[in-house]
Amino acid sequence: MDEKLLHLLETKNFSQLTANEKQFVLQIITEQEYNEQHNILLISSEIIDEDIMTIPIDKQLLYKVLKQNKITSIINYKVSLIKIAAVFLVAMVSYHIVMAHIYNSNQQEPLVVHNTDTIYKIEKVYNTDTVYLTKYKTKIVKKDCDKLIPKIAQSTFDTQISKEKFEYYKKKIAYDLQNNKTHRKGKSLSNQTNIFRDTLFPVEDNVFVGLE
Amino acid sequence: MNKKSIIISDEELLKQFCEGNTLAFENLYSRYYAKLLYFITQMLGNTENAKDILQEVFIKIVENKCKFDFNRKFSVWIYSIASNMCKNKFKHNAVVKKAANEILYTTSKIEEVNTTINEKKIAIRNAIKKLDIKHKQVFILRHSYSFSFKEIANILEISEGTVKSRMFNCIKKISEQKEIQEVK
Repeated sequence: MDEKLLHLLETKNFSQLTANEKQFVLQIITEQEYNEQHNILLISSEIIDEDIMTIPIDKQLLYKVLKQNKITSIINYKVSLIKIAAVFLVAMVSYHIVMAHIYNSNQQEPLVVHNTDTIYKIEKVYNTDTVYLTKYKTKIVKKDCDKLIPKIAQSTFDTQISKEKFEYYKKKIAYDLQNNKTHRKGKSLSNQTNIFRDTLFPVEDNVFVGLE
Repeated sequence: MNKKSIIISDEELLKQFCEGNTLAFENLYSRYYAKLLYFITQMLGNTENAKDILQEVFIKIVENKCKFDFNRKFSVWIYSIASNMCKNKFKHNAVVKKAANEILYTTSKIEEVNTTINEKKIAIRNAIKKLDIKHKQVFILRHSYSFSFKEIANILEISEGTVKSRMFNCIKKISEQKEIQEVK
């Protein structure tokens, strides 16, 4: 409501108002009050304009402000210098990079194209297994036949063979042993001889019997 | 011969000043010096203080000339700066209390020069002087530069409704002044 009234007060005097506007205004203030306030607003504007018009422009103040502007410009100019320096630096770096590239391209050797291929390295696979090696030990037992025979003859063979036979076998074995003939179980001798021999010289398989 | 005067907008002048044209700033300075000084003087009630503030306002414009949003109105911007500086001055000074009673430099000058001015004008001028600062600034902004209520609200950082309310109160207060009643 105030806004509408303000607008009317600022723009029209009471006689210029429409019927509706007059009706609206008269609900708030009287015609006299309206005209009075309208005049105040008109005169106020005039007064303010007149007062402003009489104020002389202070040139000294302008110079002070423009001096400040120079200082501000110098500060801004410094900033510009920094920018210029940055641009120069970038240009220098770019120049060096380009020159280095040109130099390198001049120094290049004839172009060699390396064809690459995939090489597969096949490694030998060794299967490991446990191998058992049979190692035969050779045992040479040399015994004095003369010393052994009497003992055995007396104990084991007295009842089985005669003395003559015993002597015969004794001599035969002694002869064989002297002539490096080996005696092995079940070979070269008769059964009785074998028994005799085995009794005299109990040997295991693969054990060679000889004289000392 | 038709003479066409081209009026360059405030914003365009500021743009030119930003680009280094000092004359553009001098033009802006001429446009705003008196109006701003009047506004600040009315707020502070002291011409010397007002001049200091005005200098600061223009320096601020100079320093931020290129930071201005050129889509906005320059007048609103410069009055906002002036208004804020006045507020800051109030905070640091006890000038406010004296302001209403002090004789304004500008008005006294006018009173001296225009002896023939009619009584009603003097009465209204005195009535305006007697307004409190909050009402006075709204009234002056409205009548010195014809700012819209919205623009005044932006300058003073208050709501548009408050501006209208204050404006209406101004008219009421002025019309109720004794001097004006007597002149009737």
